[in-house]
Amino acid sequence: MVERSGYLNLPLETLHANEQLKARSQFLRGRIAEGLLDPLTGAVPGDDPLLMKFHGIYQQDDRDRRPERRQRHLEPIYQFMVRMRIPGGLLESEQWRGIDSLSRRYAERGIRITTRQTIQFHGVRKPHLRALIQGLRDLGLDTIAACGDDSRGVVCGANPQLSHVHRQVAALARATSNRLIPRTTAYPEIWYRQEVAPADNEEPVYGDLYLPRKFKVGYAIPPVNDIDVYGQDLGFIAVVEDRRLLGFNVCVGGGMGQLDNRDDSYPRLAEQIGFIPPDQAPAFAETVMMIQRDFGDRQDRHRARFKYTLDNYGTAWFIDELASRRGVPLDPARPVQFEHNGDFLGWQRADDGQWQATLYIESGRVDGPLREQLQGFFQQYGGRVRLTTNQNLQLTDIGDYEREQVQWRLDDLDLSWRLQPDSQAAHTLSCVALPTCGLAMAEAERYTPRLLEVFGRLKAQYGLDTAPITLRLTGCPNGCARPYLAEIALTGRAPGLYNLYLGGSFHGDRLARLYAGNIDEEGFISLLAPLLERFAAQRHDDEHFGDFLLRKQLLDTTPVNLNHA
Amino acid sequence: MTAQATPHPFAEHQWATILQLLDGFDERQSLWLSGYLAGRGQIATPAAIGPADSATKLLIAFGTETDNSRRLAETLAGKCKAAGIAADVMDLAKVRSRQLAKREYLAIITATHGDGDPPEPTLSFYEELMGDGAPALDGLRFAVLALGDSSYERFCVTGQEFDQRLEALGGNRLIPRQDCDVDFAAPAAQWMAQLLEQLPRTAAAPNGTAVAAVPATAEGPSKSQPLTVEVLLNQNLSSPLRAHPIHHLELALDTPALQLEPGDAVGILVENPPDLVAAILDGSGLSGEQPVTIDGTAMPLVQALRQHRDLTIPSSRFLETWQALGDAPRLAEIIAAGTKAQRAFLKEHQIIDLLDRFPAHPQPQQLVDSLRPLQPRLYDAANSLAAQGDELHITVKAFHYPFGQRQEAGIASNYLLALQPGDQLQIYPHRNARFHLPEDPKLPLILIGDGTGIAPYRAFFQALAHAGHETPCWLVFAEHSFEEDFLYQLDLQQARDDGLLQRIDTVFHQDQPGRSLATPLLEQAGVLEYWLICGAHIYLCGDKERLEACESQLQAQLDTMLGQDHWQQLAKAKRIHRNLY
Ligand code: SRM
Ligand SMILES: Cc1cc2nc3c(=O)[nH]c(=O)nc-3n(C[C@H](O)[C@H](O)[C@H](O)COP(=O)(O)OP(=O)(O)OC[C@H]3O[C@@H](n4cnc5c(N)ncnc54)[C@H](O)[C@@H]3O)c2cc1C
Ligand SMILES: Cc1cc2nc3c(=O)[nH]c(=O)nc-3n(C[C@H](O)[C@H](O)[C@H](O)COP(=O)(O)O)c2cc1C
Ligand code: SF4
Repeated sequence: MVERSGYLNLPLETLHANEQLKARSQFLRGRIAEGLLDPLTGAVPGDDPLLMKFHGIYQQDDRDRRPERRQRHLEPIYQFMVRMRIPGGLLESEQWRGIDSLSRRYAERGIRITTRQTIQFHGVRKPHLRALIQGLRDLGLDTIAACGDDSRGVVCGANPQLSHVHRQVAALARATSNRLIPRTTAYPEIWYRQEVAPADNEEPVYGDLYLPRKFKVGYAIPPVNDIDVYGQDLGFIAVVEDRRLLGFNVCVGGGMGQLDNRDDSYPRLAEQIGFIPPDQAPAFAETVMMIQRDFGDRQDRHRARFKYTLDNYGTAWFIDELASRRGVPLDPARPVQFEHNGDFLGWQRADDGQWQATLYIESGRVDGPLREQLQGFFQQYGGRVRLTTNQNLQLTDIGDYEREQVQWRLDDLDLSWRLQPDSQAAHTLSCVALPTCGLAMAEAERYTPRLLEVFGRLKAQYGLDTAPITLRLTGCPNGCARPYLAEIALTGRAPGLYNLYLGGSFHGDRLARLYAGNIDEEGFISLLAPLLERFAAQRHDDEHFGDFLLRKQLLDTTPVNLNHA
Repeated sequence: MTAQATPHPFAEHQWATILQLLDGFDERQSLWLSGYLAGRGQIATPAAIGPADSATKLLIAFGTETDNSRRLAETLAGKCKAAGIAADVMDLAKVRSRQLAKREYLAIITATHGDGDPPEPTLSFYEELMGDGAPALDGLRFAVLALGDSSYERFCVTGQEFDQRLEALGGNRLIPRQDCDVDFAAPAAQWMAQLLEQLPRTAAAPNGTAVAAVPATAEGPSKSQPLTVEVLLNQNLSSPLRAHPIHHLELALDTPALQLEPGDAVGILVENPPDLVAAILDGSGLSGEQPVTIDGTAMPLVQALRQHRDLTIPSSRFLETWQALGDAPRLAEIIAAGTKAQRAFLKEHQIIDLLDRFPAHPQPQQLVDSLRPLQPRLYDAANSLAAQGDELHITVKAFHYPFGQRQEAGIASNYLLALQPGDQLQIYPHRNARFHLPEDPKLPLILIGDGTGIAPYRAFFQALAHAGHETPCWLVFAEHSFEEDFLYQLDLQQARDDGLLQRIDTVFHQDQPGRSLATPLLEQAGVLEYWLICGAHIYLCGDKERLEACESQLQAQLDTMLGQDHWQQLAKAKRIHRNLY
């Protein structure tokens, strides 16, 4: 019997309300099924929306229309964001086609590729939820644990030069996801309307309180850190020796989310703590998750993430706890080297002779003309698809003989420019934010085109057009686009106002620092202009902006606050 | 002028002046005057033949909701006194059919309301008289004056029913029944004059004060003394894309005195659209400045047309005037063809069409006299004044209807939709007792509504919540789409939180085509039966056609489930309440 932290022994009433809700929920059932039928509202009443997150479904509303709705004596336009579980982001082309047609039937704003390489639908209305989830089932997909206090979608990086290794790692990512998701039969009951006899122990691993908070696992294959492995609760870094996967360096305690109004709230880099053989990874992930289950804070929800558990108890403690649960201590970590956290763009020939082509997708949003073009393309495309954590779309497993033909299909459909996008666009991420995200304080996705234009002009002024600089934009400090790992980041504070972070590394192993608070577009330009000017004048060859700022100690200032909002 | 008909005791010069005077008066004034003179009792009458016993006394019985019939009854009473005819006036609400058997002379003046129903207060009398228990009335001599509105399908039916029933029970008609449209003053005056000639002069007109001039008893604002209120808010509730939107209007009430129960409506005085007024002026070759008099008040023609005359629905009077004006043989034929043909013809023409087909050049006064008075329109109170006394809410749908080849826009609804905050409106309360809540707040309510039919239910919920009742309510509501047209959704959610709204079924035609208002009730016939066993009252409100369709489906279902004429019994027990328009 393992030692348990205080929290799980405390009386339920003393824990956070969400903990009590989970306990009452009969393993995530609640009254969701009834709520779906309530004709008086487009929402699911009461606390059930919190439970629905565990099913991968977020209740939202169109925030643009709230005031007008109230005047009309109408509730907000309730709608649901549905997030799929696609471990490693791998899809067959017919799955993509199916997802496209489901999005046309049931969703608004097309298909959204996320920073955890899955797909979200937005604007799904309550009466369509079941049909949509069943439609996904028929494509061999589900949405289990895409959100909620559980193990989230497991991400897996790419490395076309090690395609064999990639296949191995991707398989492990899938195995990890399948192993870590909840076992409750609530999902098939509610969404497929299946009568499943519940097991006597519905959640052998989670128990009825599930995790204190979300838990994120990711696999990276150096030298590409596309997944931002240091931003994961649990990261596995592939260790490869002459094309063979030896195992993984393990890193723990990464996370972005922070609150601007709490100083015990911060983004944190994952620390590398050791090495494990490949096939142990899924079980290892489960053990780490169970430690977090037992020791994570269940009273202060914000401090419940694994990163804070580690800081509460200390990493040394964690390593011991891990050893005692695994029965063996960790081997020391092996040397690994990352070069960047972006995607390989354009055509790449993998070492197995297959081709892949990465299409740049702005903010991961596939809608409007782009959706039509892609639909046209997929009608004739037989290869596979990989969604990337940089919100791009990769066409993979294209044989030599097909390459030609794929290329002209892309030309015909005016998609080929996406193979060589403007380099800044290729290094820019932005989260969804308004109008759907309930936590957004400022625009992100919808502001991206304008920001790219402004920033592009600024770079051009100093002849930096082609210098890649990672730029990330989020509508709030939660950091869904992993801003604190970027060289330049803006996180939303209020409409039109952002905090400016600078100095992350180009390959995502260093946190950016707050440089200025509450700045608007003007402020952004006026603050960056001098820095870019010096960068242009004084950078070393191939020196990246973030590294330059550090070398020149340009960040050792206390943050400016231009606008006390 | 009816005066010319009767022989008079005046010297020619006196008579000329009287006539001259009378000519200036409109019908209402002359009616009033006659009553007034009667009251003064100073007109010499034939010698009395002893006091009248109650049997030979004329009983003037009226059935009213908005007081027109009462006023006419009192006018008639005045005329009787003037002519030395013993008469007393009673509200049919207080008359028992047995009493009629003891009477020799009866004059009934009644309106028709609802959808061809008797005025609500007279319902019990109506049922007695129509029922098998009705007394034999041989020897009763009667006359009926029926008030109505020819724009309703069942024109003047209540008067007609009384008229036939009295005859069937053995009574003899003194004079033929007179059916009156909304411009009833003139035909009513003629009917009275004829009636007086048939009645025996019994007594000397007693001294006393005028009866006729006594206005309707209702204190507070009324149709004749409307209340001016300010528009606070005019908010579209329905989809912004909708051709016929539904608005929520909030009106400021400084007079808490306004008597409005949930289920009551307000009458609203509206104006015709300027372009229609212009078209009518062009069509009759008149410019708007010429003075005309309406109810004794002088005003420019344009104002009369804008505020006081119905410019869409023609009356038979209009045909007569137009036929007299120019040589239109077709009009002559129609008039000759009798009322049925006339009404059919009128249904197919609006004023503008007649002006177009039969060009004529009327005098301004002729034009206004030939047009029906512009009727106030009724709108249900959408809030409970008990809960919030200083505002009145109404829910108005932009009404449109096909007329021949064209779409016509409703006058009042479109006028109301165009109002801005700060604009003023004239309103008066319209009691609709048929649609009030049951006395007993524990009785469950099944509220069936279509579109604006939700309005009174919102008032119900507010009133019940305010009174702290937990009346079980089941709402069945139909509209276009859930997302854009769920009228008062937030208020309904409140009603559920207040413990009132226990069941709700919605039918959104765009979202689930093929379902109708009745569908959810039929699908849950068992529940429906249970609610009825618990004594539920059924309310139907909104679009006439749809709700009638719904009612007949329910009736069929319940009659087969619970036995023949189960529905009829519910109706008899006053557990079915209709508010259809
Ligand atoms: C779609 C996505 C951003 C995107 O543009 O792609 C996203 C969107 C949202 N995130 Fe996120 N997060 C997304 C990746 C991330 C990441 C990046 C990552 O995981 O690599 C982070 C930072 C890493 C981390 O977890 O710290 C992230 C940290 C958050 C947080 C902060 C969590 C924290 O512990 O502080 C929240 C807020 C919360 O959970 O309370 C959040 C909450 C949300 C919600 C669900 C808002 C909400 O809770 O109501 C957003 C839905 C917006 C919408 O309308 O779609 N999201 N979110 C990403 C979906 C990932 C996926 O497919 O699962
Ligand atoms: C008790 C009661 C309560 C009411 N409550 C409400 C309420 O809460 N909300 C609301 O919006 N309305 C309500 N109404 C209806 C409202 O009073 C008006 O009738 C409606 O707004 C239309 O008036 P209007 O002046 O716009 O149309 P009008 O100009 O009066 O047009 C309607 C006229 O067109 C004629 N007409 C209609 N259809 C046709 C056709 N197919 N062919 C030929 N002629 C036709 C009819 O003769 C009718 O007189 C209520 C009515 C009643 C009696
Ligand atoms: C709600 C309502 C319904 C009416 N329904 C009819 C009807 O079905 N048939 C009819 O001929 N007149 C109908 N009328 C017109 C009235 O009979 C007419 O206005 C009459 O002058 C009212 O007389 P009162 O004031 O004595 O009630 C209706 C009036 C109202 C306000
Ligand atoms: S970063 Fe904030 S605004 Fe953007 S999606 Fe995440 S929670 Fe929403």
